[in-house]
Amino acid sequence: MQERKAATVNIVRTSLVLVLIGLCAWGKIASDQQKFLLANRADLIETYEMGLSLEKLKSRVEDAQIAERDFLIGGDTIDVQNCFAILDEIDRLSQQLSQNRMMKGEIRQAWQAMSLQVQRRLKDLRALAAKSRAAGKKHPLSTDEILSYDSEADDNLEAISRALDDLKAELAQERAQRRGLVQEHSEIANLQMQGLLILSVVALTLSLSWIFISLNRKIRLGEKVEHDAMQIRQSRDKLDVVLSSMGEGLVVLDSVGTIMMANESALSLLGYDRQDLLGRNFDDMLEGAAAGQSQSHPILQSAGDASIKHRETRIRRRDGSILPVSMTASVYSMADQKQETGYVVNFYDASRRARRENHQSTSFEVLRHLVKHEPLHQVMPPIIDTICHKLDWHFGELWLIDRADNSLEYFMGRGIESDVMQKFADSTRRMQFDKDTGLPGIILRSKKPTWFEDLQIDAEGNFPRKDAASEAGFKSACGVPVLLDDNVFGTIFFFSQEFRSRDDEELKLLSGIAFQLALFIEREQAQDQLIESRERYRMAIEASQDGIWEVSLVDNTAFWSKRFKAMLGYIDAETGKELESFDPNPEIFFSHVHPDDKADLRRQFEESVAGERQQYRTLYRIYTRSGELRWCQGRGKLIFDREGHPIKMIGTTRDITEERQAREKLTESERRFRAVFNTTFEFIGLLDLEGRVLDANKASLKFIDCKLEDVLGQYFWQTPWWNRSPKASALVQAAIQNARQGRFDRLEIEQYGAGEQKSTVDFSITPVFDEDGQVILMVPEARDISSIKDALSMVASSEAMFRRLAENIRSIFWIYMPATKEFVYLSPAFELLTGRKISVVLADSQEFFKAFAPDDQAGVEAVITSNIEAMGEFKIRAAGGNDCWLKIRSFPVLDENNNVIQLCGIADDVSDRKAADKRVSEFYSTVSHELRTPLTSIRGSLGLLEAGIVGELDAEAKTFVTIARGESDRLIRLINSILDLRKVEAGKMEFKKENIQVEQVLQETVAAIDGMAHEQDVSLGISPCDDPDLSCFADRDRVVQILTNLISNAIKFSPPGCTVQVAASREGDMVKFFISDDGVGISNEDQEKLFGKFQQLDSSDARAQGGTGLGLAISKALVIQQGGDIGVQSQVGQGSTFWFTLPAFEQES
Amino acid sequence: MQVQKVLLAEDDEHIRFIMKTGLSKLTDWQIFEARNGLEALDKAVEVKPDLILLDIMMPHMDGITAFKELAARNDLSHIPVIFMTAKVQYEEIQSYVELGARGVITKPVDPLSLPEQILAILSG
Repeated sequence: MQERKAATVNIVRTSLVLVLIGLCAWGKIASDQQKFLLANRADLIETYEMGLSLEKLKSRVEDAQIAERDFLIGGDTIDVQNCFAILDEIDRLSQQLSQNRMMKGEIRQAWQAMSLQVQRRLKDLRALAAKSRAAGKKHPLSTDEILSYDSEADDNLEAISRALDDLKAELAQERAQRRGLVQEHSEIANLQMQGLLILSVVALTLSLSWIFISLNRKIRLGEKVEHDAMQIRQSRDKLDVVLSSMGEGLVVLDSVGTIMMANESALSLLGYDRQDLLGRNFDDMLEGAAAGQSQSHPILQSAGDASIKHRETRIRRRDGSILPVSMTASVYSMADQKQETGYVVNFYDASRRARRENHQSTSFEVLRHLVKHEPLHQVMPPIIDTICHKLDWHFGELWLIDRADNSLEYFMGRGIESDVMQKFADSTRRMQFDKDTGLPGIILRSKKPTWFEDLQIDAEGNFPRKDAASEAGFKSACGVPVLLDDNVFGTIFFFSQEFRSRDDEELKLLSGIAFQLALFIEREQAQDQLIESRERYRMAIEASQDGIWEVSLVDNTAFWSKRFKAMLGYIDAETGKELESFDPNPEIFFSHVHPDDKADLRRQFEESVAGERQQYRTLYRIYTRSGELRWCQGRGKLIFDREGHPIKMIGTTRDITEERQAREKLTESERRFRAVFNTTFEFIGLLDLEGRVLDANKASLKFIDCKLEDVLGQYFWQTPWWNRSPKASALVQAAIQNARQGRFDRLEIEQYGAGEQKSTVDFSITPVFDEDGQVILMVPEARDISSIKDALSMVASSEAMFRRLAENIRSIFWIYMPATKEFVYLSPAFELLTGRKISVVLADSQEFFKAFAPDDQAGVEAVITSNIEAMGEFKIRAAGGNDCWLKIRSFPVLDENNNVIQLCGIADDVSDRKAADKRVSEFYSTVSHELRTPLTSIRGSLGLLEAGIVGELDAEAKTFVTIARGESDRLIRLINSILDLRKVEAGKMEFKKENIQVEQVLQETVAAIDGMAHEQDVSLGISPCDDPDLSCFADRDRVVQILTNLISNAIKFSPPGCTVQVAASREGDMVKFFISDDGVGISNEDQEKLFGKFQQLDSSDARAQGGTGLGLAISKALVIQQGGDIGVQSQVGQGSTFWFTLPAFEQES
Repeated sequence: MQVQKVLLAEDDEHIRFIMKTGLSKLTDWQIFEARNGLEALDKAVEVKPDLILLDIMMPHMDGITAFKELAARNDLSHIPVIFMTAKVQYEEIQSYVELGARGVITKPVDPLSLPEQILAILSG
């Protein structure tokens, strides 16, 4: 209700203030509006007044006009004076009007123009009046002057009048504007005044309301003061009750600390009664305060602080005991005083809380040491020190259970520094109890905290260190088991040199500490085990040949073992040095995987991660950092946490490249073995130690038309290979017995196959030993030697035939081994011819060559030892002393690889043929000599005669001499041709073969013979060669000889006017020469005998052409001897084409 | 080489006559004659010819023997010898050249071209 009223008062008050403010503002606006309106109205009145003045002025101007006109007409000076007066009045009026505030803008300009007109009129009029006064005449002015002035006067006064009219018009316009403005603002001012009135009414109403409310409030306030005073009295009563009943002590001190008031609790806490306490100084009660000094204690010093804080302090009670209290002090002052007037101190007993806090801080200190993650032997000393210090014990110790023998082992003991403590600790250090002995044993047995108020009594006689403890002065002790669940790790014990009563809270605290210690010891032991486990794991990883990896599924990081990195080439396997850092990212590993294997490996990995499989095992290839391809066998397994969530994949990777290569090699070896084993034509098998068949190759099985299953496990000698012949079976069984004893056995034996098949085999059985030299298997082998035996038989027969042949022919036959340079065979004909022993020659091959003439020995050796087919004729000294000629031919014998393995030779005695050749040669020589000698005389004589050397002959005689000389020349050519032909045919012609340019040879030959063609009126030409560099390999002189022969024949047998054409072209490995003529041609019949000796087709021709009939025969012989051929194509009446061929290049001999 | 004296050893009188006639008529060489090898040796010692034209087949001492004798004598071995022979087989001519003769002229000899043949051989 009060609040509503207060709110109403506030609203009224606020509204009143707002209305008053609005009223002031509105009043100001309305006032300004009224001021503006009044000013404009004044201006409007001014315009009216001014208008009246102007009217008046205009009237006076008209008066002036009249007066002036009268003066001009009458010349009376009075008129002038009137005029002056009027004009002066006008001037004065105008001066007054010029001061009018309305005179501004265009009005003022018009007014000034009018004033100037008036002034000028006055000036002119005065001048005229002066002139009149000077003349003194009635009418001193001339008519012209009057007229002139009059016209000007009219003009001037008219102008003034017009100016006044203009002024009036301007003024009327101004007035109209002012009037409009005043009218407009009058309406606004009215509205404003109405608003002002309304606001004033509202303000008045509000003021009345506020006055009413204020009066009402003052009445209420008086009632409230009375009510509050009553409440204060009640509160004071309540405060007294509270102060007397509150648990905290409260004292009120004056400014110097004298106790002015104290409640019951304060009396109780301080140990005084009220009379004794009041008047004492409170500083005397505070431990640590300087007596008699106010504010000396920190509590009182801090009383002025704005924040009230409890402080721990200790008070001295009346009986002298010290009581820990928590105390606050605050300054109090009277309401109307600024300075301090005293203190209010309240405090309460904090001994329990201090004790609790001491326990808490002890526990906290211990925990702080335990969480340092230091080893137990470093953690325990400060813990014991803390407990001793905080809980007032003089010695503390820890006993731990040795898990090995379940005994109690003294771990550590500490106490305040003194000799007796040290002695007690030293005496205990080496002690070891079983778990029931001593104070620790008591604790372990009960597994409960135990307090020994009097050690000597409470130890129940189970106190081996009784004397030491007594010597150390220990009277009380307590111990708690270091226990976690039901697992006891040891005990912790504290001794005191004072008798101490059992304190359950302290035992509880120590039990808690012992529990934390148990946790610590368990964690340390677990960590030790973990470290040990990790160390074993690390050693296992490092020792493992497998690469080990882990991929965290939480953050996708990876761990790779050194071996794994080495496998990928990031660590040198030998030195362990890291070659390049390896980013622990699974993708880095996948980047090493062979592209063909990557997808599969990734799929298996991801399926495992997705839980579709818990582990995988696969083969894949990787490229190492250096690009080497390695085969790996990878395994991966999904690892779950305790909640069953997958947390990581672990796996191993084994480099199986070498293993795989070895396996491939083994497989390949097995395959090869099988290939050999099964494809060999020979029998081969495998037997166990009992002689049972373990394996047999296909050839052997095919021989008996069986499958392996048919003989597998059978005793070998009972198998179809042998069981048809008891003798063979017995021999094989005996051989197996020998092999079982480690002896190799071999025998030739008959073996039966399917049907009537029977073979003679070379059978052997070989024992197979293990590493200890024990026979473990036997390998039977059998080789069919039937065909070999047949072949050997044939060889023997052939050998006999060869020997019969070689030893009965007259030719000498030998076999020479180029490798050993020895004769391995020499037929008896050699010994028969030369008388030299064959055995001597076989022992020393040089003996063979020594049988020949010294000049021929090197030639013989060259022919016989040459690795190619060779031939030669050499002279040998026969047994009778005469020389014989041997024609030797040697030819190589090649093996399948075309290597020379033997040189066989045969030598025939050609002495008779050589003698015949010699005789023929001598015959030719003699005939040649005997024919040439007379021909020399004949030809010489005829030549001298014909040349006129010995005197001139008459013409007729000279003709005959010329004929004789020509015939003798032909005879000489004939003899030469015969000798040439014979020489060529006998192979005596020596050819100097070389590469010759065919076109060049043709040109030279044709040039040489062109004269002859010219004489015969035959056109001789060369067809250009297709290949300008065409060449052949032949004796150049002989080629020219052949060409000359054929071309000259063509010329000779062509009628005058004909053409002989020479050409050459390449045909395969040969060069073919053509000599074509368009002569009479040759019949087929004649063509066949054309190249015979003395085969001129027509004797008359021969005579006519001077030929010998041997030209074509010689040409043919020359061509054939050089490896070519010769021929003719011709038809009678269509000319002939003679051709011959020669090798294009050097041919192998 | 300047040729002034030529010894012509030829057993055939006709040939000797014809060749001497031809050489005498065609050159200004001084021609000395011998009928066999022995005479040729004596004549050679006597006249110290610049050239010896030596027939092969001659009585008493053939041309081959005479050549060897000439070659064996220090005062005569320097005299170039050209064999004249009617034996024109290749091996025969080859054997004469191999003996050391300067050249071989085969019969029948054209006396008109004989000086050219001789000079060609000597300059060759």
